[in-house]
Amino acid sequence: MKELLMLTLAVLLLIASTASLHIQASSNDNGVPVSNYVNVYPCKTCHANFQPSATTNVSVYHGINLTVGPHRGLQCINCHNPESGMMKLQNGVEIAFYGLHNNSMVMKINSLCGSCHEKEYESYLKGAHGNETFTCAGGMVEEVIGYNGVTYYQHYCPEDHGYTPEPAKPCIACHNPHNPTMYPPTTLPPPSERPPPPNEDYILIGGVSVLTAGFALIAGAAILNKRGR
Amino acid sequence: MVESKNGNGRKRVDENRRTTIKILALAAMLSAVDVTVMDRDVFKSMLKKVGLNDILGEESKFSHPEYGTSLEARARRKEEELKRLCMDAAEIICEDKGEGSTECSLAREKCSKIHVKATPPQKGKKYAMALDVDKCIGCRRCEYACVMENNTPWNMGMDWITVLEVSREGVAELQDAKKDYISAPKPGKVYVPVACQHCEDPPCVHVCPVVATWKDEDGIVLIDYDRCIGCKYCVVACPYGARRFNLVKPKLEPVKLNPNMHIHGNIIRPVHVVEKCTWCVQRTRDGGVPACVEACPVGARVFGDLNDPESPIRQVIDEYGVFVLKPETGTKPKFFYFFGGAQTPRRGEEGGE
Ligand code: HEC
Ligand code: HEC
Ligand code: HEC
Ligand code: HEC
Repeated sequence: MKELLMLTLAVLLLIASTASLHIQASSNDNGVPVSNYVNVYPCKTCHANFQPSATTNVSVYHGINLTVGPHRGLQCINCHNPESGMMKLQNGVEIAFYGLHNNSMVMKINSLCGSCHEKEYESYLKGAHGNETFTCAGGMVEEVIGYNGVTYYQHYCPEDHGYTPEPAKPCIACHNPHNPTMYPPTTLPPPSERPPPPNEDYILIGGVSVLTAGFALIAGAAILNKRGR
Repeated sequence: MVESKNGNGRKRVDENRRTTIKILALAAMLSAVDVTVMDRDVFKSMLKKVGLNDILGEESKFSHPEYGTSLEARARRKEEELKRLCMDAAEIICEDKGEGSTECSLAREKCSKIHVKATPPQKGKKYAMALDVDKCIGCRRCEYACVMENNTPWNMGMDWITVLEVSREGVAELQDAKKDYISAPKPGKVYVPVACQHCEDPPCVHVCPVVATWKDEDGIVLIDYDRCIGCKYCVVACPYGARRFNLVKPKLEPVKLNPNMHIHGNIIRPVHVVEKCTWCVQRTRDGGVPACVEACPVGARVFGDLNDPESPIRQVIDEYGVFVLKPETGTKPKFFYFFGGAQTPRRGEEGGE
């Protein structure tokens, strides 16, 4: 019996891993590392047929280890709902990925994080945690390639009034749920085309030589003056 | 040769006066350009928390009468002029890239969208911004967003935000601040973005000889580019080095243009006027948030209405307490810095740096 189960599992794995969606997403547009592989989605291709108890905190298959990192000690079941074929999270929201699903779907995951991180969630809704954007009736947002190829999102609003601020990004855009520490994105060079500052060594050498030249001049002037008299 | 100069008493007086004036001007310029020179005791006094009551009690003494129909009419004129200029630039693009190209149609679309607003301040609002120095990672995305939003020229160092790298260890000496760092965040450093502090008692407003700059009722310090005569007194007066002088004729790039403009904000500036951060007046007066707040990848910036107890800025002031830069100058800035506690990258976390 046990062997049979293992066999089916192995076969399943084989099929699913070849048939799985291959969407590679190692980091989002901020350079924040997101899920190791999103290519396991949709989960129910495997989990409809077998439901691991989900009470562990290490998954070899998914490469998720909750014995390390800030979320160590949590179990998969704290956030994932095994009854739904792993398609749902514990707040009843379907699993979604930042950049793959549209923003409103991913935003629904926030209340899951909020169930344990009340304070941050409250600040987040207020606009004090995470960054804010705004929406307006009939408005739209357009991507513009700006200076140095950095994208910028321009807002168009038909009306001049009634812009409403709201959180710009879902929690999981900044925090990977399995390793929520936020890693900083890359640093951009200073935006203006002004010339770089001179090397500090040159400033020192230049300063010293100007000083010596100055002293030489003074000495020369003094000597000449005496001679003139 | 020394005697010959001293022979004329009157000339000596002149000479002395001229040198004094020169030295004074130089000193004033240095103090303006250098946000960074400060000694240890002064810096310690800088890190004195400002209380909410002090902040709310502050009343602005300046305002600008000209809002309403006359400004609206001026905005319409400007809008037409800009549309014409933009269309000319778009035609050049269309000739270059061909009529059917995406750039051509995009440029024309942008030009037709140009809208110059003259929104007056909303009654009862008082804006403020706060920045979490613990979260800021010095990535400069706010600078880039600012440049794009405000149609700022990219050359000549015109960007309105400057991010300073300051040492975290010991007493941070602002005089060791670095502007041109390449990689960040480095351990043991804090990053302090500095732009216009929108002071309650702005020295730049005091010195303006033509009342071209003023503090509005909602707390934003603005410049009327048509009144500005380019004397640069305000550039010198600003203790934070936040003002920029527009040295070159602005280039209009229709494809990258932000068509949402305010006549005192991100409208294409004429040459030889002073400009600076306006807290994106074209967005905030209508209820939005500034571009830097939106672009910050770590959410270090908080913007809101000081008079609204529900606003995020009030939460930050209540919860963490806030600092201002150079309090000894008596400018009472409305741009606050605070230490939120959660550092990016987290300390003691492997791979966090
Ligand atoms: C290719 C098949 C496959 C897909 C697709 C898949 N899983 Fe799994 N999953 C497995 C296997 C096999 C295990 C058990 C082995 C292990 O944990 O090492 C597992 C274990 C888990 C566990 C831990 C349960 C436990 O007790 O070990 C969770 C939680 C989980 N998966 C969630 C998901 C979610 C969420 C998705 C969709 C995003 C998903 N899985 C998609 C194969 C899959
Ligand atoms: C703190 C809540 C939380 C815990 C605990 C948690 N997950 Fe997740 N997990 C999520 C969320 C939210 C998503 C979807 C968003 C994303 O991945 O970006 C997700 C996505 C996934 C995915 C698909 C994407 C990926 O990262 O590969 C898998 C597989 C997965 N979880 C497995 C597990 C397993 C196995 C465990 C237990 C070892 C576990 N999760 C524990 C919240 C959690
Ligand atoms: C089941 C409860 C629970 C859920 C749900 C949960 N967390 Fe956590 N989280 C914790 C615990 C416990 C800690 C550790 C707190 C500590 O060390 O003080 C933590 C820590 C964190 C930290 C701090 C990381 C650090 O560097 O110190 C972040 C960020 C975080 N969680 C984000 C999230 C996000 C985002 C979600 C939603 C996907 C989420 N959490 C969902 C329990 C939870
Ligand atoms: C714009 C990015 C961003 C968003 C969105 C965001 N956070 Fe954070 N969060 C950060 C940064 C940056 C830190 C500080 C560094 C760290 O702890 O990783 C942080 C810290 C935290 C911490 C640790 C706080 C502490 O004092 O130790 C928790 C918990 C947390 N966030 C939860 C959340 C939750 C819950 C959400 C969604 C409701 C969320 N965050 C949304 C950027 C973000």
